[in-house]
Amino acid sequence: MNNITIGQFIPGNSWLHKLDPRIKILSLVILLVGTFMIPISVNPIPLITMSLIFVGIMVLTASSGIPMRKVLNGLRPIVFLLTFTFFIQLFYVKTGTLVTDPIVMYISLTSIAGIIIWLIFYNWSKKYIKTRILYFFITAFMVFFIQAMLPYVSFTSYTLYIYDEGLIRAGFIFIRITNVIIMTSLLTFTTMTTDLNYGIESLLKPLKVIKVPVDVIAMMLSLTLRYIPTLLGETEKIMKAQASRGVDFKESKFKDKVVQIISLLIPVFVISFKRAEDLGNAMEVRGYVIGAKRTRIDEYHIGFVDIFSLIISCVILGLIIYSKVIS
Amino acid sequence: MQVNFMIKVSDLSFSYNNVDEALKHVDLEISKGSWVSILGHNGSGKSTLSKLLVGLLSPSSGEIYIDGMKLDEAHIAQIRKKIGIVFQNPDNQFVGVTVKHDIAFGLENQCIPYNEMVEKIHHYASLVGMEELLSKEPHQLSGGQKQRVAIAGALAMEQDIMILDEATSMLDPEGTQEIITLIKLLNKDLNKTIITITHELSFAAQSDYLIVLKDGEVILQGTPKEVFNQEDLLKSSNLELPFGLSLYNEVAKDHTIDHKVLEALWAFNSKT
Amino acid sequence: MGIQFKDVSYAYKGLKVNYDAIRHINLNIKDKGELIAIVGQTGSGKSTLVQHMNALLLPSSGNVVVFGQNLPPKKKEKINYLRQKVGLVFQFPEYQLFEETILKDIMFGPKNFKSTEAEAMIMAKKAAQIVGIDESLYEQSPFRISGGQMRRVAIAGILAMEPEILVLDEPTRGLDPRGRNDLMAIFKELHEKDNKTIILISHDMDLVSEYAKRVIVLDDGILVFDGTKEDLFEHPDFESFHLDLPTPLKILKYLEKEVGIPYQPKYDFDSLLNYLKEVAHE
Repeated sequence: MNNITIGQFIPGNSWLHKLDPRIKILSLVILLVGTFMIPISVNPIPLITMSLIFVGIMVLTASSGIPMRKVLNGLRPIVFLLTFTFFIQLFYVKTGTLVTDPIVMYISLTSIAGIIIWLIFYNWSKKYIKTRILYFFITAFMVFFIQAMLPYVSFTSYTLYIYDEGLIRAGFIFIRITNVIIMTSLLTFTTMTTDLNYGIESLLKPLKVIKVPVDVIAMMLSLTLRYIPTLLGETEKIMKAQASRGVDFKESKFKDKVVQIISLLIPVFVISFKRAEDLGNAMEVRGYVIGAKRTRIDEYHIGFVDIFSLIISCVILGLIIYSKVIS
Repeated sequence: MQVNFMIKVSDLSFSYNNVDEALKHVDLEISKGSWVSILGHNGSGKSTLSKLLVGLLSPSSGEIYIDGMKLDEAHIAQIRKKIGIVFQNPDNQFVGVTVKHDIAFGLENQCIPYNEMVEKIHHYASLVGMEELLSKEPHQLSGGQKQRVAIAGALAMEQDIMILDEATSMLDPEGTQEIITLIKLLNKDLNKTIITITHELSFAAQSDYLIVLKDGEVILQGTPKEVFNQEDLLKSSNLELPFGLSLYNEVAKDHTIDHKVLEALWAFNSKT
Repeated sequence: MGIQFKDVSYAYKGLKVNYDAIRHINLNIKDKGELIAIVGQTGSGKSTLVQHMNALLLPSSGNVVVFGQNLPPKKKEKINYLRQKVGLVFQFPEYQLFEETILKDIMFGPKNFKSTEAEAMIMAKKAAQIVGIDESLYEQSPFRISGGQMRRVAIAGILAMEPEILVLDEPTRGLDPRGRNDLMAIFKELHEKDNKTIILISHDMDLVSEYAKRVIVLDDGILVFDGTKEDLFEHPDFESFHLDLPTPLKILKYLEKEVGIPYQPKYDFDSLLNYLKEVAHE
């Protein structure tokens, strides 16, 4: 059987694990709104605020019992975005005071060769490195460093200016993205998918007033979550069956690949449609009527810790709005 | 009076799109507390019949009475409280995110209050042997386990009649055995009326009464002994007697063989 | 040629621990003339084992040699061609159908192995004939036929590649008794006519007892028996394999217990009937 579990839940006993899912989701939303409300400005105060939030998140992570490594690994998918944004902000902002003298970057035979050699080295050596994210940053830095250091046989050159405002902006955005990702990861690490499902459904309930079919959406969400691992398993089986008929993405030409993808997609669709029909029948026979009143097997209680957490989140948001208003 | 029979079907016909006649003028009666097997080749109409019995399809003509109540639009909600069904594909009827949630599904639909739900779930999960696995997700379970959960879900609705529509076709022998054991428990200990739809005669051999469908019509019915005697009729409807039953028939024809052996052979076939 | 397993183990990577699916398997399979059944409880490693035969899985340790190709292969060595030499049919193979027409779907395999359109069509028609799919169905959609027919189309899809060894994972699962017999008859004929090596995974001991020449038993990932079916069913340690007996033997054991008829292994209908006529007079 598969080892996949739906979502990234890591079991634990921390206060964060025990928080009511509705509160957790609501608090996350409030904190996310607050984080985005902090203005990007050259005034160092927003940067400090953002960094304080980062520290706060680290404290939260420590208290949740989730290993720091796992949380930081959540940044892996966006490492490229982070680095790219950082450097763009750093070099494009041309206001404020120069931090260092202008740096001349050479696109030369030696610098290109140097970059290529470094990238090959990076590609080969990365499997031995544990802190991959940091290694990636170092590599990005090296690309620039090499261009600055190897002017021999130069074809052309350009100049980079690093201003203090650029540094502040780059740092700010970098920390902001990191905060958002880690906060959201903490939610998925400490909340079971069934609880998340319930939390989202409950919070959407008020939308019933404007005739949004919340119950139906909730049921669709719940069924989707239930079927993801099953579908993944079935897709894997179909991939193996088609592989046994000669489908091989590694060894085939591009035009063959199109048919090969179809050979994976169509069976998955066929299975899913049949499933939808069978499921509809099964649900109907078990008395499910869309929109009718139902009781729930899940019961959640809001405790003191929940209310306290919510209040803290609101206070943080309040402080941020207040500081925006007075400036 | 219809109340003598748990299920009474009168002159039932059904056509898909008014063209293919899936069922033609079928009459049947199923008594309370019995275990009836409906046998037939693929396309004989047995799945259509089971869908009609639970109100997923409406008859083209004829009537169905469940425990004295006529099955029609007006009564469908009440009928659903009397008759439940377990389908063939274990994955395509497992609604809940976990075992607990799936057993709860039918109860939630009936607006059963929380405390009562919890009690029922534990009770019926125990009955089918799944109480240790209540928090497991379906992809962590075997086919047999998923079908047991489906049965628990139906039991929790406390319906008197349960239809198992080829419920073991996709299972391995272990899973199949788990389900057969459960069916016997439900029928003998809990007095449920059970209808199994199958093409496995060895499975059907263990039930009380058999109904054989061919091309939408009932061609044969009776006790297992009576039905299996008609080997030629069964062959004509693409049903093959399993080894043990075929042997029984051959031995029965040969009068030189000790009749105790014949009885033992019959006992063998009905014990598995 | 053929397939050799040399001290092969395979471990699936779990969340925290690795799970050993098969351990220290040693096995030799000839490329012609064998009819092997692989049996064992659910989870004993049968599926994992056969997926090594067409290089879908590569050993975690040890070596598999398939038609002279060593697995795991050296870096950059192409192994896709092995899937044409060893045709693997999975459980419920009807799920792999996807093409517009039945003939096109059967042609998919050959075309992936560089057959031209014309060659593939000939191979496909031949395969369709072997499994009993009538010409009238060639242009039909594979989704508009019965489940049993879909299964045959799927099997034809593998046969069309003209593999030298055929491996089938529970080919009769979910079929009714008539369907089972018809399908097994097709494989039996393939084996007898072309002397093809056929390997079957099955839970059905009756099927094993009727068709298999050689039986391989897996228990918890380890190969515990490799020999003829007679040796298997008469093995002193049979209980430890956690297998069922085929029905004829079950009946004989039951009759011995209940009416005292001396147990003598008989594997098919006629010999059992004749035996009873001999020893069970009134």
